Amino acid sequence: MTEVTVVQETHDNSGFNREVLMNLGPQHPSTHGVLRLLLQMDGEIIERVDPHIGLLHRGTEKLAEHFTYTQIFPLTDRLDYLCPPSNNLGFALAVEKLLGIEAPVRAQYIRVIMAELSRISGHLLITGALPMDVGAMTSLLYTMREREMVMDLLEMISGVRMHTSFCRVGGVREDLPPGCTERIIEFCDIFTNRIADYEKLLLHNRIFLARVENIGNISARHAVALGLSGPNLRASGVDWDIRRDAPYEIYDRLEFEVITRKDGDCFDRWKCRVDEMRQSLRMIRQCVEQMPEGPVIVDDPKIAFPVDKDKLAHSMETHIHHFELAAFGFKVPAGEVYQAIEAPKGELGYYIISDGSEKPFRFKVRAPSFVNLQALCEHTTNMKYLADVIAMLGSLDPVMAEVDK
Amino acid sequence: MEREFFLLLATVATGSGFLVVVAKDPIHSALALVACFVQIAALFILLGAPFLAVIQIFVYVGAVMVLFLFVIMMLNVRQEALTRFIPSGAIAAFVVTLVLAVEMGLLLSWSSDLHQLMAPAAEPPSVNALSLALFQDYLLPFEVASVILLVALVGAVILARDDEKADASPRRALHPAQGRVPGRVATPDTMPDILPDNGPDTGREPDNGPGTSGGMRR
Amino acid sequence: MESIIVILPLLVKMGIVVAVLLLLPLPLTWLERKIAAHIQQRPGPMRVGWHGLLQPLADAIKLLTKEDHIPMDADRLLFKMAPVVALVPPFVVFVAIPFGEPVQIFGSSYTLALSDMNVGLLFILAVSGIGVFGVILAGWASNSKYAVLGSLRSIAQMISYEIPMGFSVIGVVMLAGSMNLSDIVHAQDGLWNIVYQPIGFFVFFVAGLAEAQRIPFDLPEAEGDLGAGYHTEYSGIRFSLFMLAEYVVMVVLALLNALLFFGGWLGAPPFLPPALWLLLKTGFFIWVFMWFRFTFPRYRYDQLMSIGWKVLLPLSLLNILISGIFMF
Repeated sequence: MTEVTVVQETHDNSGFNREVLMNLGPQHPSTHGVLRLLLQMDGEIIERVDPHIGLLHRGTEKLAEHFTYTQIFPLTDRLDYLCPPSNNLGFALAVEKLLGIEAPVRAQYIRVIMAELSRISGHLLITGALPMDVGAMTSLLYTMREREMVMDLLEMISGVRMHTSFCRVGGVREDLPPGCTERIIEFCDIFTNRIADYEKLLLHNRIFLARVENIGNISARHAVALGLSGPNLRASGVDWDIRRDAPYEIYDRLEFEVITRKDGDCFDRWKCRVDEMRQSLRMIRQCVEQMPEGPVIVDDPKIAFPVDKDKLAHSMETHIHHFELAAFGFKVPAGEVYQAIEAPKGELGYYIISDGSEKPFRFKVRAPSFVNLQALCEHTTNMKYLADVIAMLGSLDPVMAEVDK
Repeated sequence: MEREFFLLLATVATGSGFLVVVAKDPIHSALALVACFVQIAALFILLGAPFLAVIQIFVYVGAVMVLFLFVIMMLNVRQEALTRFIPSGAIAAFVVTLVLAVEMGLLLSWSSDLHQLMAPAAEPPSVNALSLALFQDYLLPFEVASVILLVALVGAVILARDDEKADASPRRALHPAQGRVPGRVATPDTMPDILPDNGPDTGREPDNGPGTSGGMRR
Repeated sequence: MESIIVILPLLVKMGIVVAVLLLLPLPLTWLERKIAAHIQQRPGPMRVGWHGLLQPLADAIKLLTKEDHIPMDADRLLFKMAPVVALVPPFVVFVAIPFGEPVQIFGSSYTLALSDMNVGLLFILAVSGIGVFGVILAGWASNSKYAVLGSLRSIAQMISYEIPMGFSVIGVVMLAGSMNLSDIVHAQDGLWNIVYQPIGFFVFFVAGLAEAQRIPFDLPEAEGDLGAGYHTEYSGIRFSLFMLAEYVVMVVLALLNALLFFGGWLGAPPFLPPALWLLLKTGFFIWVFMWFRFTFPRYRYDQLMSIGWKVLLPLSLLNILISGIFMF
């Protein structure tokens, strides 16, 4: 921590040292990863916040140029590692748009269920982590308990807890296992009460409210001007949700409310997410009800492995396609595409330029956390004290893996 | 045994008092002063005045010295410690020391019965006696002193407040509460009109270009 | 010879107090971790010994054998002094705390206190105020901004909360007519002070939380924003000395709460020795402190200050006024 500290005091006219530069992070309990904040402070009062990012840069975008489209899915997993299924979904949609295909309806439902489950998992973290940043340790342990249930569900569906990579271009890898929908409904029943528990614990806690209410207000204008998205934008009162306003997959068939709040302070950002978890539960229930039977991946031998594995033994053509697909991947027609989805953190966009080969020519991720982090500059909000910066950072909920890509 | 204790405490008190003057680091000398005060408190106990001893610790060690240290830490005096406060102060200091030494020597030679000074009070002064003295016999001086202290307190508060107001450094404008400029909200052309007008409007655009919101001054 | 008879019991008592206080953090850390675990619906330490009973021992060995790291530009002398300065005052406080009525052993009477002094309460408040020097020195000597900020916070906090704390016990002193702790306990024969002094107890309890730097007032070591506050740079045995000091301060405050407002050793059920009854009450307050720690968030610096000066101080003055009116 100390070796990178820039020890510099600025002198004002009196020649009296007042301002101190403090280095918060990259190894710090409240920076949610490896964010480094240079704070210019006058005692406890924050003069300027200067986020330094890039400590977790893994070159995702450059790496992707050397991977086939299927191989990129694991890379997207590692963007926002709290909710890989929605990252997968966004990328799959982008490539499908380029290919001009659409996944079968059942696959779309499965993807949406997983995306909403992962939204719950992502929001659960901040539901517990913001109170922990302001000192209430126990809430995080409670939310982690429920997050474990989500993880179990994801594991049941995909076989992996964290980096699911369950989406494929043109569908999902396989169908839901038997008994899965019952487990999901059971989770929905339990979790509804648990959300009420969190609110009971924190909503009327005076100390918690004193720490987050009217701290870090972002007005609607600033939120838009900064390019915020997701719950951070909606907490400021801007009624914008890609799931409703530019629906993808089967979101237009689902009934849900877009949660907005008025003040755009830390509390609103927190509450917005808590309420969104309720809506997610509602969507998951509807998905389970509406989900039709059918294939889970497109029946196109050039893009996806055949649904009917027996064909491999009988048809030479299928065999050749299978080999080509496994060895080289599928070709995507030349062109460029931008596809955005409403990821838990906000607008997650994939911009892909294809030159007609199996690998993208250019791959760009519009990561919501990266943009949201911009709001952490002191002149757009009313943060005043060091502890407010922590609350603000916690409520913006950036995932550093996604910020640094 | 009391005599030995007295000698021990007095020696340590004198030694730490000497350290106060000699120590280069102001924090060190402040700490030496703390040690000195504690010894004096112990001397009070030896003289049969535990109440005074405790008050000594309470007020001088627990409050005054803590504030001293607070101020020393707030101002970064590590550099200034080496520069002299008064130019050619050494001569003045020497003169004062000399005068004090002469004074002390004279006193020592004049007073024949020194042992009386360190004899404990015949009856340990109780809290009752002290409070009677303060609130009955010397009520007027006590009240006057408290009024003077109050005035000093109010004066200090006013001084601090004025300082706060006069402080018009540019950073103040960064906080929305102070830097609000009503009616001069610059709206980007693309911004839809449906946006609710809420929250603190700083009247500034978040993006101030690389000049203002960029890296730190180095 | 006579001096030996006077000094020997004193030495024995001192030995017992110091030994108990040095060993006390072992069960207390275990208790704290277990309470935390059960509040958070997890088992807590389970591996070392029955239900992790030996875990504190393992932790102690770990802390004692760790590298003693001193930062490069630290003030080495003060850095080494700070933990000791922090540790000594809470121990010294026990000089003035009585644990019960004098007991008869082999025909001679022994008081259950090192010194049942007349200004006991004042002595305790004064000496526990010295503890802040350890924090100041640690923050200053570490040459780290986190540590300095932490120690600045704690200085401001301790000065601010010492005042309502001192004022809140004035009501108790008025009722007992003495600052001797034994007299204060005796004055509660019949009805405990909590009945007469609810406001005083509230102020004392809250200010005590702040003095001990427990949540919701643990700003000096606020993990969320300062890493570990004033002991950020400490490791190994020096760090454990700070921990020890923290636990002893907590015990002192719990004891004072029990002595001043909950009748001390009075009102013990017949099958319990009074001293044990007092310790039980103390244990209850320690449990409350721990319970708070895992339930509340922490206040912000300015909020903490305004609570101290704008709520607790007027309340404690009001308490003095009310007590005065009733006694008159």
